[in-house]
Amino acid sequence: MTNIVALDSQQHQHYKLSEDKLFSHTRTAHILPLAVTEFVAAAVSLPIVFVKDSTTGQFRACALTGLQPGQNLCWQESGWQAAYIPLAVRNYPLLALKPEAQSDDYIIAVDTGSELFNQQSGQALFAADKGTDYLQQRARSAINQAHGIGLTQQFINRLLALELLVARTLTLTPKGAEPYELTGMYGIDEQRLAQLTAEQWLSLRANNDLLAIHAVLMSMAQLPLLVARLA
Amino acid sequence: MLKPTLDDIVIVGGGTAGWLTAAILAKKLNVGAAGSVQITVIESPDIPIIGVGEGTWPTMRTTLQSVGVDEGEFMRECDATFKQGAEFVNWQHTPAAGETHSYFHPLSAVFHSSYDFNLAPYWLQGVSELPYDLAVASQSRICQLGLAPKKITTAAYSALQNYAYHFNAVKFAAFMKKHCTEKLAVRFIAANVQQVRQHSCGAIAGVLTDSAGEINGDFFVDCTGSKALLLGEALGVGWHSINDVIFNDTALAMQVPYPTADWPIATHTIATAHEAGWTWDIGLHNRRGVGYVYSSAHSSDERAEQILRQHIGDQAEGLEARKIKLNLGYRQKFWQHNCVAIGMSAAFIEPLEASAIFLIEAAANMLAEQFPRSRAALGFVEQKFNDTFKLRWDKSIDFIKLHYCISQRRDTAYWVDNCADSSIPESLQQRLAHWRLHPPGKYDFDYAFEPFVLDSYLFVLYGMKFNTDIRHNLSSYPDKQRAQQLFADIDRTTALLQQQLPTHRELIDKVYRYGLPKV
Repeated sequence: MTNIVALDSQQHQHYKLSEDKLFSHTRTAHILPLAVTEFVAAAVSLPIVFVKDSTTGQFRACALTGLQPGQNLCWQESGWQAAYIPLAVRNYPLLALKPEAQSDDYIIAVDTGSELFNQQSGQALFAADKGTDYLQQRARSAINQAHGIGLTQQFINRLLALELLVARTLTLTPKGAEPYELTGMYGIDEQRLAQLTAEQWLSLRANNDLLAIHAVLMSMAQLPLLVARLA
Repeated sequence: MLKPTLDDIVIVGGGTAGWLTAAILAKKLNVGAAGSVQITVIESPDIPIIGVGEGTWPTMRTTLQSVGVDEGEFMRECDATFKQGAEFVNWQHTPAAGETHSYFHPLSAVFHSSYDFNLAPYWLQGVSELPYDLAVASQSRICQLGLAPKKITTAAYSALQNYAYHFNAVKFAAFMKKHCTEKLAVRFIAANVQQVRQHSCGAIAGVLTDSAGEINGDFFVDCTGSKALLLGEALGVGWHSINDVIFNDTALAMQVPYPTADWPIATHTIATAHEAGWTWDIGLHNRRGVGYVYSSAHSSDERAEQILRQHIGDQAEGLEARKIKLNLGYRQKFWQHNCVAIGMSAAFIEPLEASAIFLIEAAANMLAEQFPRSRAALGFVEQKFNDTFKLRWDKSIDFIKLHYCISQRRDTAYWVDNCADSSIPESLQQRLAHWRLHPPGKYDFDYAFEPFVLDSYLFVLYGMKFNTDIRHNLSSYPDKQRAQQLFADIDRTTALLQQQLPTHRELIDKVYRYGLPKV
């Protein structure tokens, strides 16, 4: 069970973090969060889609790793299979959160449900009431990701304002099974992109969104490769 | 010589009618563009908004979306909630002490679509054992369970079950005013209109105000409420009273806070019949709006307040009731010369079935669509507008009257009088006579702008246990199997929706926090 708790130098002084190079925690994840700052690197190995968070209805950018809930085609017993490993996967079980929406600071939290967070093995997190260098380095990476997620929300809001997001349904026909539809995914509307006015196009350029938009479009070429992993 | 084009529209009066009309006109007429009309709203800083109408129709979703309002923002700013229909309590017969009975008039009829295949004759033959409202629509059950019409992931203005809104009308007017002035280039003047100036032909030239001088225009919209300063007072258009048909001319309204912040919010209007009228109960985000609308000829104000307080119970203690006089009827003409009345200046039936705001939208839409830029074209549009709205109001009156006149209640003179033939419009009597032997069908509703259509009539008729005797004509309904299948489909959909939909309160809290996704 996921259980996100703020790291505390007192409460967690004896805890350590171990690392799992196989990233086994992703074995049942069919989507994994992605920041806009990762799009270019991710696009060469994973389809990038937008999905709505089921608790808030807000759009999130994600790498698609499976074709139905509970299925990760980019993970096998031998570990993570795709060339790109999303930051969120690498940072797990740590994440950075803003205590309030307007705040500039982050707090570092941990999923205490993860076996990687334990008192037996791995790198120490605290020494003499202070975070170790190892924790500092991991925290920086988590903050980096959180910052990227913030930028991603702004990016998505600009896409929505220009009506560039469109629902995408993937019809899948697994061997020897009934066809089914993977719904709830959104992509970039190429047609609409081509219809933007010069002014709208320039607004995208000013925000440096063009690269990310094209990364998303190009990542669609990864879809058939993901389907091929089913075999 | 009057100038031949109509370029300046002046809307006198704000409120729901004034600001909604301003928004619809401004959007459709593309105000702000080169060569467009200009719209000015003059709102009195002193006259409070009456704000009775807290319920809308699903058309409001299209209206708000088309004028560019963000649904989540609108809901948060106006304490709005989702309305999926109305529940009519104790209308069918006189309830025994402590007993209640009710039926729903939901806004969507999933799979029902009585236009293609009317389930009513099969329901009349007992193909489904459920009451009519539950048999033909999943939404009645969804309302009973207090579930939302959609999920937080459903796009703004989209629905899994058709819905409208309940909202705080005072906040809605303020919200639309802000939207009109900030986003739709509507000009706003805060002043009291003191005098109306007319051309020699009778057309309105302008209005004199206390603090903004004289404001002239080419076309005027009278949104001054029941006073009807322009169309009624200045142009002298008379009033057609309907108090021989609809008796509820007085309302007592109360604002009842929820006992706790997480109290469930009803997702439908609860209309409960009483000895001389009915009470409405509308769940907003932070409070309920509860009121008793009654016939002053059949009840004293004291007795009415007693009924209202009894109905609310302990929660009414220490709360004040606000009395509102209602002028029931419509103008003999809604449009004359260069002036059209929209809102209570034009007509008012009574709050049952929430037709007031709907007919504001309908009038503003038609005005926008048909707005004559040439003075010479005024007469033609005036005639069309007057004809269609007289028909729409008459049809609305028929439908409202239906709720009363097929009741078995005879406990008070109020109900006896409401069911007397002399109080039932001829048009409704003719239909009822036909429906005693034939279930209503789509050809009974053949006018393109029919305000209440087949499904609505079916829900009320058969919710009220109206008896249609089809024994002589059973051979015309051979598709029992198909009906059975449809009834089963409706049951399945209901079960599926029950699993998927959040509670109304849960969704409202989320919408206020996160808004609704644009797509």
